Amino acid sequence: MGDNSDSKVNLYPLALLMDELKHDDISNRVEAMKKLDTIALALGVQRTRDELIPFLTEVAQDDEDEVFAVLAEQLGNFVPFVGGRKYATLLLPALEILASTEETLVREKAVDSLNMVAEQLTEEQLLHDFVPLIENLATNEWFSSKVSACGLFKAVFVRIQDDKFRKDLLSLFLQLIQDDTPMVRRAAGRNLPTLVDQLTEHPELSTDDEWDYISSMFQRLVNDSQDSVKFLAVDVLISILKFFNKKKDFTHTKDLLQSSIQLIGDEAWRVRYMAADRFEELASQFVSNPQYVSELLEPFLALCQDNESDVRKAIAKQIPGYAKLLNDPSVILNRIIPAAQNLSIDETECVRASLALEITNLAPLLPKQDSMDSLVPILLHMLKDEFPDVRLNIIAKLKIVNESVGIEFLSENLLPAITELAKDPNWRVRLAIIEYIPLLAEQLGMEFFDSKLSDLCLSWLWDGVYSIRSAAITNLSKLTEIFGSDWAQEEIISRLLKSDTQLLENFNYRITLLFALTGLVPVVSTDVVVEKILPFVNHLSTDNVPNIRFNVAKFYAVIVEALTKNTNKNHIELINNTIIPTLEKLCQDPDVDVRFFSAQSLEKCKSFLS
Amino acid sequence: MDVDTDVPMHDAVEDQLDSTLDEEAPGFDNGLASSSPGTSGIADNKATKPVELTGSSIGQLDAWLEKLSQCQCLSEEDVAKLCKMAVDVLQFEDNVQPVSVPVTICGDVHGQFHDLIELFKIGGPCPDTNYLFMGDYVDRGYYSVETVSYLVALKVRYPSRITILRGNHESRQITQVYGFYDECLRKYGSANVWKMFTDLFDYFPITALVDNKIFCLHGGLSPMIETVDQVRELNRIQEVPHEGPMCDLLWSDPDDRGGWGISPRGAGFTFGQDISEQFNHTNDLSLIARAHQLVMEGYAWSHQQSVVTIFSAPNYCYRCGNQAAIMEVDDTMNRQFLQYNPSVRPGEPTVSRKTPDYFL
Amino acid sequence: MSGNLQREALLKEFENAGKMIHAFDTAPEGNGEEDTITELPVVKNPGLGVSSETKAENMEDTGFPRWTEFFAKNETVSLPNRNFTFNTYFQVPEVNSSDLSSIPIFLAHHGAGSTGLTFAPLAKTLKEDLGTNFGFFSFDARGHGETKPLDPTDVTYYLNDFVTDFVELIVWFYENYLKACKQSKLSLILVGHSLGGSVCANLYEHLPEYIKRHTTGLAMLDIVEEMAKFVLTKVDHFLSVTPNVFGSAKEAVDWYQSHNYSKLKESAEISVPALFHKAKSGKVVRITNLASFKPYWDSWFDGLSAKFVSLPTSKLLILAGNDNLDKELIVGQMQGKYQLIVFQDSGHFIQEDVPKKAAISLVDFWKRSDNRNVTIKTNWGSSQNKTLEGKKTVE
Repeated sequence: MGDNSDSKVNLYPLALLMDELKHDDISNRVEAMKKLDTIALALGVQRTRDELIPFLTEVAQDDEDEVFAVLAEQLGNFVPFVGGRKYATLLLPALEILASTEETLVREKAVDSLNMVAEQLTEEQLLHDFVPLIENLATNEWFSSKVSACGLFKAVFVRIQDDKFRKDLLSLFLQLIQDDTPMVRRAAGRNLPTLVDQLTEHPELSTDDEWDYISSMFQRLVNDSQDSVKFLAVDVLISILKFFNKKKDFTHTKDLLQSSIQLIGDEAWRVRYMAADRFEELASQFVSNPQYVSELLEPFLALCQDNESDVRKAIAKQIPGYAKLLNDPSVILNRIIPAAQNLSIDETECVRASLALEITNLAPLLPKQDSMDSLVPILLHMLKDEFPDVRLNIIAKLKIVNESVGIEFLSENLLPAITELAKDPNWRVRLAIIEYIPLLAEQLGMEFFDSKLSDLCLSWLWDGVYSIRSAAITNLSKLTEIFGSDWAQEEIISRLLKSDTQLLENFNYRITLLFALTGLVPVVSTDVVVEKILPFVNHLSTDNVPNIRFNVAKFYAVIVEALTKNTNKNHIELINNTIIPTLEKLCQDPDVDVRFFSAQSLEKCKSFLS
Repeated sequence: MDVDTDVPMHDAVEDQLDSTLDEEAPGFDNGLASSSPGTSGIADNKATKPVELTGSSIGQLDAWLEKLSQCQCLSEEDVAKLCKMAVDVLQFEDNVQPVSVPVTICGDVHGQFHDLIELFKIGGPCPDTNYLFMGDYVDRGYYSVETVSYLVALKVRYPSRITILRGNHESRQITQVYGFYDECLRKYGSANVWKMFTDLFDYFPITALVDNKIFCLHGGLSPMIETVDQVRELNRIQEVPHEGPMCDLLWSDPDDRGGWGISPRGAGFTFGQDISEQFNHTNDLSLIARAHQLVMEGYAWSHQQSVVTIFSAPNYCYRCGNQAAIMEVDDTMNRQFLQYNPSVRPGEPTVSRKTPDYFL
Repeated sequence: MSGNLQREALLKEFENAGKMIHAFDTAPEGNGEEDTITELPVVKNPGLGVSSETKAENMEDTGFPRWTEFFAKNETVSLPNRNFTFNTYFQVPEVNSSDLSSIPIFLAHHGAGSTGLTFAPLAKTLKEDLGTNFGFFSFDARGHGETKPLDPTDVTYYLNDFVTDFVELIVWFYENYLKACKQSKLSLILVGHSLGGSVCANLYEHLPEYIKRHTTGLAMLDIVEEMAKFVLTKVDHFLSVTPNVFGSAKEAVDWYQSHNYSKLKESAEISVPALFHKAKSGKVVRITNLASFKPYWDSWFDGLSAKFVSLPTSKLLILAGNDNLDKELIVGQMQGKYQLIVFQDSGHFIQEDVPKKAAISLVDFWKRSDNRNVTIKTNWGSSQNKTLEGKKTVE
């Protein structure tokens, strides 16, 4: 929008924008506020500091939430506009006010912006200006200020090298984590893992004092009366475990395992949900001691049978991950598989769909025979699930099962599920299954495919939805790449060309046929192109519908490209005697688009020939 | 923005329109002196006879189409170029634009750009598939600019492959109330783009005749239009009038009751089965295809298959829960309806609700 | 009588406006102190002429216009079976206006927290347009303005209470003033602003048959069910920032103007003072305690949009600002079930902010909707013009 040098040019819009910032109508103020960077740029850094920032600090105290939200966001990127880091602290007063407002959205934006500004501050500035700001907010009587304060500790926590300072900060944070208001405790609990992670990244900074603080914060969270606070303890626990694992300090591991088991079995379902959702990550923190991983088995199985479907949905996704950590086929077979089987017939469809997403990953963890006897029956059952997401999720991840047990075993039960999905009224479900077909074909082999699936693949060409027809065409060329040119000629091309004349009266039918055949050109032999495909394309060059004619013109270029790959005199002759003259004729077509695409195609053909 | 009615209002009130418009415009838009037709300049140097596209303009159009297909707006300068090119295409089209089969006939889109893309996924891309859109490209949805730019660019690039008729929302008055004007201001910082498009709307044909058998238009019949020839006699290059035959064609609705009726909308008329049958008989038609009304299944027959309503904005306004549909007419005049649901997308931008400052 | 004592006590109260506010902030039905407040109107019994004195007094120090500039009559209607005396304002059509085929009668119901005088500028504008060939009826709904309960115990504010009040007042108006008009010419238009819109939409089916058949249509001003329910969730904030006491009526008018609640000065000068009573201290105190309606809110708007769209009469919806339609209204509009007009330059009080445009729209709506006014011209059937009758039957 301009810079200092042409600020004169911008003076007028600038004045208007400044007026807009004071406009009666809130939407005008919001719009103007969105252009704050333009205003600042035009004013230059000096006037931005002297005039704009004081004005904005005033605005931050007296306007509507919508305006605040935009202002809070804008100020995060404002450091360059006030003249860089040196003056960055000028932005803090307005942001501090915004971080204390009642509206959550405004506060969140203000906190984000404060963190962005803090990144650019020096250690000196942080100590002198930013830390007092955090202290102000954290000790304010309003819960909204305290909530904001919780989100700011991460900006300074490890940036200042002073141990005492960090202790002071932690003691302030401890106050927040035991605040009277659940909102504050929740915000503190949510931010605590970040602080612990920061210590993990900077192990040189941590001292035993800090561990005492963090441990007591964790204890507060675990014993919080509100579920919505308590469930945050799961993430804190994971962070703490990572911290000690990094330090290779295993003295607390047993205690922390007890804490984990306690959280997993908590009476509040929210807490159990959180533990279920993070189960693999949590369990993986105990791999240093296989005994500990095993001790989580019973709690794990309890989650699989939880009363709350949300908990079961969360744990269903974690099954193979945890099973892998257990690293014991007999435990998997005797304990995990039965749990998975129960979930596969869960009354809630989203639990089954969630299980379907990952369950196939159990296959490589079991000996082949065990997979076939115990896992595959579950999968086959799920392939018949009435809920399409369950079936699709299984099909999409079948490959890993094929690798362990082979497709033969699956194929018999697979087909009915595929046939049903192929007819689903939702075209995106049909699309998903088509896209899976080449993978399946590769695994099933040609013979099986021809007898069971080729009719289905051809029938998609006549689907009412264009995208399905288009996917069906792509599918045919992928299949040809797998099964070869001869297969395509026998199974696809000759069958397509046998279509009866009445069908050919229909435009969609003709154009789809044209697309399908030309789609095969790059993957079949030139003999097939010359003998089978070209005559049909030539035939359509005089079609009544211009859309057919210009697609014929386009496809000639594809055909010529294929025929000129290897120098073959007959082919060159054919091109010069039939294709070029036809294209030249099409260049005189009454339809403008036919002329355009024919001319374009002719040029391409000539370049292939030369 | 003074008179903001879904219906034409008295001239006396309309006169205030111009003077108050710029008060509403954001601060540094000084270009908006008046909203009277033709002031955008897009029709200042009209061609006197149809021109064929040059190679360079084809390249430009293809680049624009590529950009627009990603739901990205063109620059204001490019919109100006596009609209000028579009005037030179549309000014030579007939009030009753002849269209050949095969063609896919579509109804209201209303700025639901992602659903328009879905429509092309269902019906096939243009130019491989021929399209006839029956108006209402703008307003209500969040992407009116992208939607109308895309359709107009397609029209200029492939004039023989796509026909775009005028709907009642392709009007200066209506777009100031239902979102297109505000969207232009929001996306371009001034009303210039709105002025260009609304000036261009005046050139859109108002009806089309598919293979001389299917009469297509946005609204419905007019008591002042008994024959298709009478449509040809209208002067369509103007703002949608408040009453009269051109207004009716864009506003009327079929009704269960016979004869002509006053429209509850406040503009146009309602017409009964007797009227539709007589019109089809007089003009040797098999069907009237029109849009304008939301129908839950995306299409609906009325008047014992004399009239079909097609609506192509699924889950209209992102909340009505309706299906959308398009009608494919193939080269043997077979008709097939394709219904579809909203496209899968990350979600629409939420419009922040102003805290109300009043009691009830 | 205890009345005098009560009055003295009350006047004392008035001297301390702060206390008044406090009293208003508590629930209306309850202890004795509040009863005295509610009974305030009884003291100034209109029958004894006290009321008009007060009004004259109000006028003295403000110079604001009086109701007489807008309406022909101001009557207090006592409906014992409704337990209220209603303060009404109206305009009756001239009986002998013979040359017209249809005479529009606008029956208006204001919104919560407003009064019958909110329609004063609209009535005046209509009079300028239609002369004496029209009627207009407006009144203060229960809990508002000068309308008083006969027995202040047990007063409720459910939607049905407002609906039945209005139905009975319409019957009263019809029996007393409209019967004289030629019946075949009567064309009643219900006009409801905000809550009043919901009242009108819901009362249509309760109108006696002999009145319903003269009813041409319903116009709702700035009311959308979904938005209204949303507004109610935010209303505490509105109440917290809205003062209930001003130094004078003029201050009140200025406040409404400066806070953009009323965009037209002339409208504010008649509608705003009506919201307040004058205390002896000279201060003015808000009459209606909006918070006291809270228990009844749930009943006010439920199912309004569906009801409006399906009402078997002509319908007009005028909105201010944006077309914040809810799903039912969007579907209805997109199916052509009613007429929608949006005035972007108006605030919530459309009848006050843009009375001219509102009047034009209402007259236009009446003319279109009443088939006595409309013949549809058609050139169908060779080239000669012929006229078909409109299909809509009102009789």
